[in-house]
Formats: sequence, C-alpha cells, structure tokens
Amino acid sequence: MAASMLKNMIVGQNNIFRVIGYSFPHKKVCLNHYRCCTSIVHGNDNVRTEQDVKPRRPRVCRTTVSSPAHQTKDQIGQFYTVPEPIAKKVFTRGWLNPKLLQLFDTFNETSIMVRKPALEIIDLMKSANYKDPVIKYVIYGPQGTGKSTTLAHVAHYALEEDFMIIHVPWPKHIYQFPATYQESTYKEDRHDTLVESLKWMNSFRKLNQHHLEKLKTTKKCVWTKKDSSLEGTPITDLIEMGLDREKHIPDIVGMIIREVKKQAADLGLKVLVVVDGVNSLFQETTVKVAPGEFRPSSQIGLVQHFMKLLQNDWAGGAVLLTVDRNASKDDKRESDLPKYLLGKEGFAVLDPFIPFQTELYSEEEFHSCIEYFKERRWLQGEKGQTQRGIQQIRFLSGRNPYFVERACSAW
Amino acid sequence: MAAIRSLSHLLRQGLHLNAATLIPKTAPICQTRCMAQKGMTKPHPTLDLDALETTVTDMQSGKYKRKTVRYAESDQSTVLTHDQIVRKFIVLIMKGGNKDTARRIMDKTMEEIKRRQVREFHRATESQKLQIITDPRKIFNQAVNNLKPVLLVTSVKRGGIAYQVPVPCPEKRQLFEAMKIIKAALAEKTNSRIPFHEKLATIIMDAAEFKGKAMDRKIEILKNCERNRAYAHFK
Amino acid sequence: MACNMRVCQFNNIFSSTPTLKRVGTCVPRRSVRTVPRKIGIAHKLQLKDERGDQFKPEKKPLLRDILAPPVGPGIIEETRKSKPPLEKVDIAKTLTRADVIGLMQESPTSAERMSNDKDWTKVWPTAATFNWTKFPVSVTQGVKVMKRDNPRMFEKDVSLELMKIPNFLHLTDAHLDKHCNALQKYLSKWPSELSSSLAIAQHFPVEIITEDYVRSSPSIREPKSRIVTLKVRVGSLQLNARARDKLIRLAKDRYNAKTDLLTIVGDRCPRRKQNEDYVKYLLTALYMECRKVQEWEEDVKEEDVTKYRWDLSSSRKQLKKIKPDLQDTAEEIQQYKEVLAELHETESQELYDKYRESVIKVLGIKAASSGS
Repeated sequence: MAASMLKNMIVGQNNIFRVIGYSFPHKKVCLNHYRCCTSIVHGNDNVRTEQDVKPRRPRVCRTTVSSPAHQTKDQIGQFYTVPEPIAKKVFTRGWLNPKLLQLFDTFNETSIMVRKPALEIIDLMKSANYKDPVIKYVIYGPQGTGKSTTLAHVAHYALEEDFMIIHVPWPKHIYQFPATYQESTYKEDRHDTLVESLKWMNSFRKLNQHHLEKLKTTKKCVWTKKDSSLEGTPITDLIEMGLDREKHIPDIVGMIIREVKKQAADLGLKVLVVVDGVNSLFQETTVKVAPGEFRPSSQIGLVQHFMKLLQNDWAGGAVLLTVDRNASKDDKRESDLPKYLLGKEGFAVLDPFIPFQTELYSEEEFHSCIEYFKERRWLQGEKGQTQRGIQQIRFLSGRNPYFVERACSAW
Repeated sequence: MAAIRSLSHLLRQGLHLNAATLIPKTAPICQTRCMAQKGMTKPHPTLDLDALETTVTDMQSGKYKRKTVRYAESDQSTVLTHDQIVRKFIVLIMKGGNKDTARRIMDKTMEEIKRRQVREFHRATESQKLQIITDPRKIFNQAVNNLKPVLLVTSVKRGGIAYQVPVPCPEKRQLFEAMKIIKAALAEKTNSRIPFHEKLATIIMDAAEFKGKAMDRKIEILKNCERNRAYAHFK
Repeated sequence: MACNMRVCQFNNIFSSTPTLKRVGTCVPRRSVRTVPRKIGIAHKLQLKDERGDQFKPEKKPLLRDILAPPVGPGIIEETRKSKPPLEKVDIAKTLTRADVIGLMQESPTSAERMSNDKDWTKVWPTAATFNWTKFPVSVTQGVKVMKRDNPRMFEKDVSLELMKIPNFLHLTDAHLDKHCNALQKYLSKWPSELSSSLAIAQHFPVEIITEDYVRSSPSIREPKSRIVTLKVRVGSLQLNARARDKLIRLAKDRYNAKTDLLTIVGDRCPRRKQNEDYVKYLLTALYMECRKVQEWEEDVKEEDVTKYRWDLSSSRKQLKKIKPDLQDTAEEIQQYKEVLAELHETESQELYDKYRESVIKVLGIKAASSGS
C-alpha cells in the first residue's frame, strides 16, 4: 500500500526517469543518469523487483571444452578460451568488433561465450555432404547480439577441421574509397580496387598458406603481351607474380576464386566462405556516376568475384554470411530481417539459405556473463557485486551482449 | 491506514518527508521542485536505495516526521556507480555547459583507468596481484586525497605591497584545490595528440602513486608555501 | 426576464407595423426623425417638430410609458385585418404596473402554449424565417466570447443570428410524409427486386454521376457541369483472373483496390452528352481490350507479376540448379513454396523459423545431433 503511494509520488516527479538513449548507428551508449528505484519502477519489464529475481544457483561460467566440435547444449552460456594460434588467425582485426578485441587484450585471453546459433551451424556443418552444392547459412539479428562472434566461433571449428577460409571482412570497405578505382582491362563495365584487392590477397594467403600448395590453375592466362601463365601453374606462383606486378592483382583474385570453386570438391578441399555484412554487396556505392546516380557495387571487380562464391554452382564448402543493418545505407536500417536488408536481388541470389537469429542474452547467459566479468575484474567493487547492482546493469543493458559489456565497463 | 491517508494529504500540500527522524543517519526522499527556493539551504537528499526502502517500511508503520529537504540535482542518480566526488569533478572539467560531454569523458577515463589496471592485473604474478587496485573510483579517490594541499598561499596587502602568505587550507577547500590541480595539469600542452580521457587517466593514475604532473604541481604549491613561511604570521 | 420579453414584443408591435397611422400625440418618441443631434441647441433655436409643437429633447423612455403610453386625445387605429382592434381602454387608469406584469406572465407565446401533439406541418407549413414565438424549444445561437457580453444575448428571442441562417423546419419527416402522400398518385411502384442496395448494385452496376451548379451571376453557364463520372465495380464485370489483372493495369490510377471501384472521369468534351458517350465508350473499350489474349502475355516474368508465382520465381530456378531431379509437385517443396509466398508479402521472425524448416527439408539436410 505504502509502496504504491511512494511509487505514485516518485513517478509523478519531474526528473525521475531519464530514458537511456542508444544511438545505434554509431554504437555509442548514452548511459544517462537515472533514478532507478528498483522496487518501485513502473511499467518497465526489464527491471524486476527483488522478489522476482530469485537468487541464482552458482553456475559455472567457464567451460574447459575449447573445441567447438565437442561443444554441446550443456555448454551454452559458458565461456571457453580459444587457443592462441587460432585466436591469432580468426579472432583478430577484420573479424571482430575492436571493442571486443580490446577486451581480449585487457583480459589477456580470448574467451567467447558458447551460444545457440553457433552450435546449430556447427551441427549442420558436421553432417553436411560436401559433394553436394554449397549450403548458405545466414546469421541475422539486432545489433550487439553476436553475429560477428558467431562467425568467428564457426571459423574456429572450420580451422580445426582444416577448412580453407575465404574471409570477406566488411564488403563496404572494398568500394568505399573511390580514389582507388581503376577501370578493368579484362572486362568492360568493371572497376577494380587495387589496394583492397592486395589487402585481401595478403590476408587470404596468410590464412590458407598450406592449402594453396594444392591449388593449380586449369586454364592459360594471358596477363600482358609478354606475360602469360600456363595451365597447371600453382596459385602461390600467381600470388608471387601479383605482388611483383600490382596491376594484375584484381584479376588474380578472380582467378583464385574461380579455381577454388572448380576444384574444391575434386581435391577434397573444404572451403568456408565467410562474409560479414553480405547485404552491402547488393547496394549502390557512394561514387557518383551521373547527377543522382551512383555506381552499383556490382560493377566493382572484387564484388563480382565474391558474388560468384555465393552461387549454387559449386560444391565442397559452406557459405557463412551475416546480414547487418550497418552494412546497409542510412535510409534502409529499419529492420534486422534478412529479406528487407538484402533486398529483392540479394534474396534471390542467396535463396535457399538457412537463417539463424542471434538473440539477446537469456537470463542464464546474462548471469553467466556477469560472473565472467566479475572473475575477470571487469565488474568490481562491493557495489557491483550486489544483487541490486546486477539488476541495474540488467536494466541499463537490456540483456544485449554488447551493452552488458558497456554497462559493466562503468563499474 | 490513517497514517497513509495523512501521507497523501501531506503530498498534496507539497510538504516533504524526512526519514532522518526515523533513522538517524538516513536522509529524506526526493521531492518536488516547487519548494525550490526554500530547499536550497536544507539538508541534502539521500541517493542510497537501501535507506529509501527502509523509509517505505517505516512509512507503513507510521513513524515519520515532516521535514523539508533539498531537492536532488538532475545529474545525481541512484545508480550504484554514482559518486559525489566524481560528480564535482565532472562539473569542474565541464566547458560551456556541456555536462554530457564532460560526463562522457569522465566515464571514458574511469574505463581507461580500469582497463589499464585490469590489463596489468592479468599479466601480473600472484603476489603482485594483491597490490593492484582495479577499482577506478578508489584510484580516483586516492589521487584526489594525495593531491589535497595542506597549505595554500593567499595574497595579503601590507603597506602597499602584496605578500604571498601561506595559510592552512580548510578541509572543504582541499577537495576543490586537489581537483583544480588536476585540471591545471590537463591544460598543459603536449606534442602528441592523446585523447583527453587517456590524458586524464594518466594524470589520475600517476597522482595516486605520488608522481606525475599533478603531483609536481602540488609539490610546487607546497614549496611556494615553504618559501614564504616568513610571512606566515601576517595571517 | 419576462419583463424584457414583453418589452420587445410591444416594441415590435409599435415600431414595425408600417400601416399604423400616427394620430395625435400617440407617436413613439423614438421615431421622430427631424430631431437634430444637439438637443441643447435645438431648444435654444426654438425648433419645432413636424406638428408645429415646441421641440422637446428626447428623454429615455420609461417602462411605464412603454407599457402604457400616454393616451392623448387621439385613438390608435390599427388597420391589420387578422387581429381584432385593441380595446379602447384607458389602460393606465384601470391597471397597475403589477397587474400588467402579471398579465405578461400569464399570456404566453404560442410556442409556450403549444401542446406536444400539435401538428408541426400546420405550425410551419412552408419555408419561413425563424420565428421564436412559434418554435417551442429554447435554442441558442452563438458562444459568449467576451466577459462583458450579456449572457442572454444568444437566447432565441434576443438573437438575430437565428433569423439569418436558413432553417429547414418546413422539411421535417411529417412534412415529407405529406408531400410524398400528395405525390403518391403520380408515381409508380418501386420494383420489389430492388429491395436492398446490394440488389440495386447488382442490377445497376454502372453509376453515372453528373453535377449541376447554380450561380448568382450574369451567366447561367457552368463549365464544371459538363464533367461526367462513371463508377463501376470491377467484380461485377465478371472477368477471369488474367483479364481482371489486365484491366487493372490498363486502368492504372482509375482503379481503387480497396473498394474495387473503377472510376472513369470524362471532361474533355464541351458538352455533357458528349462526355457521357465518351466515358461509356472508354468502359467498353477497356472491357473488350482486357478480354483479348495477346502473344506477348506469355512472356511474363517475375518482376511483372504482382502476386507471388512459384513458376516464375528465381527461387525455383535456384532450386533446379541444386536439385534438378526434384519435381514441382514434390512433397518437400510445398512448405517451401508457401513460406516464400508469405515472405513476398511480409516478414517476421516466425516466418523465418518456418523458412528454415522448409529449406532444411528441401535440401535434405539433417543435423548431426538429434536434439538440435
């Protein structure tokens, strides 16, 4: 009775509730001060009273099963540590959010939470027939719920199973810098981006050095009047040549992809194509061609090459994609669902695919995360360890994984 | 029931409750702004949620007394990370009324301090770990305490000449002086472009260990006092 | 309150009847037109009024004078035929002020006297200016805006606004019943088949709308009156799906999907008859044209169709590449087709769960662990 009185009194005040503003496109958290009378707050389902949140059984937040192939439902919500050689390859810049990488550096270990979408994908990949045409796995979900992390988790599994990994970090970066555009000598209506092609080639080589030795070209290429490479040239040689003569790099990239597609099934090679933000492959660039007209990204050479990997006409691999709101243009960011972000064209190219949604933390996962941060000293102080403190974090973050970390950073 | 009815009656009249009369050390609940002018000289409200909740139970049992209390500021909150001293500091580094910017900088600074300490913690040996403090608030408090000057110089005019006279710094002022020292240290120009929050984090962490630019400033102040100790009797 | 009402009534009687003769000194003082404005001067100038008497400045009339004007040697003659002449009684002598007030209160207006059963058609037979004495309800017109306004200024007896606006008190149901009954003998019976608006729409699907305009101007012509609008429900044309789709595409903006109405507006000709003919011609042409099947209609592609069609979709092509042996009628594809049709319209999380199930079925994938 008196509680409701107090509630009415406080809720009726001027400054009681400041809404937490998430400025989503820039991932800034405006954690404004607010007065959270936790037992008295009205109408917010994120905050529960002390009576609602029962004291949890102490749950282990870590697991020693560090191989994704062996992880099961039991490990969902627990953190596992990625072994260092794999962490260096896959849990690095380009794969993951810089804030997360900074956290790995701070904690002196690379640990991520085992979550449902990753396990489901790994499950399907285990039983897939690599003689059949490639299966496409599309991850979508709200910001901060772990799309890129899922990619990295599955790539960990792939590395352990000795997959070849073709990673396209953020396609927008490919065509973002019009200064590097160059008209292609090989194909009309194509523009090449030298710098980005070089970058990609280097990272590809670094990741898949031991696989490249098996790959050889199947057709003769004429680079210039004097240069040509015959059938049967190993891909590593082509790459060496490309590093010497940078002009040919975009076409070499095309060559690599063509050969991979053709020979993957025959060589017994398993390929994992990872694209983070695939919806930006189906959009316009910001380069003006005519007043009001922008160059479509399909005219960029690298984009054309990567699009070929999304087709159904090859076998011996899996295609792992993320559909991200931020990869779209500003005016197309209303929803996180695949069809909206991909557009008609994108959906037609990818269909049929298997969709996976990354969600906010469940209660178990949230508390596990809190335990982990406590253990790692990211969430500290006597106040941070209390039930009330955790309630406040839960309210501030809304159980969104990214924002849980951000909320804990203030404690 | 009668007590609760009269409570609502009180609210309607715009009077305010004070839990201070129930439990000696707790303070009243947040109140309306209509008593703005009267409220300025009154005791501060509590931001302690435990105290607020005990007030509820005490209201139920009918033990309370009317007392006016000062309203809470808009940048005060009951979030457990809220610190009054940090709040004062935010106001000090604020420019042009951009409290939001100042607060963000302070948040980033706290995070930076924590990050550096936690990083060090995880790379340290077991014995070293015991000595590393990872709570940025503790470090900030320590830094501020370390920078509190015991003496200050004031200008005293005697016979047409203004003398710099050392004077004991009152406790209230010490906090402000300490923060002022940090602010002055921040204003120093450096060649490389470091983000503001990183600069501030460095200053605070150094001050907590009795070193750094802020510490130098404090020592300079004390030295100045030493130099002018002959004039101490002027005040 | 009653006092004031009566005042007005008496004023009306006295000041508004043109046939009242001015006899003797029984002239309401207000109506003397030759009164100069500066009354003081008039007196000094020894002005005389039309009767040759010494002019006396107008005094504010007293209630008792208005109620009982001083009866002089002359007699008030009333020439109105409808009412009997007033009694030639020296009212001032026989009645006191209180009596008069009592009289006023006792004799109500016809509105006040009207019983509930009164036939309204007799009270207000034709269109007439609002007469507050005949209208039995108290109505007001207007809203008090300023504090100083008299709160009674909107009452029906005081307000002139009610008289300015048109009233339709001559067109009540009772009136209309009488009109209809009078016209009955000139009319034929309404056909029984047209008993509801649905039936009317069914038998008369095409609606032609024209507008006539009345102006107060030197010319009686109105160019807008040539416009003819034709409305027809496309459903009533009984076309098959293909023809209906074609009609809608040809009609473009003229078709409203929500109401299924095709609206053709004809205004390009100078005369209404011509526009009417043109509009009917257009409907005929549309109808005939959409029923024709042309060769290029076979080449329809996915982009051309509004509704989702599996046989034209890119998903079908993709599936053919992956599983060339799978037939369109195969069981695994059914759910896939349904979900794609739904996805064409809207998107939702549940739909994607369904989509996932259907794709897994179609591709024939199985999870490694049974529990997934």
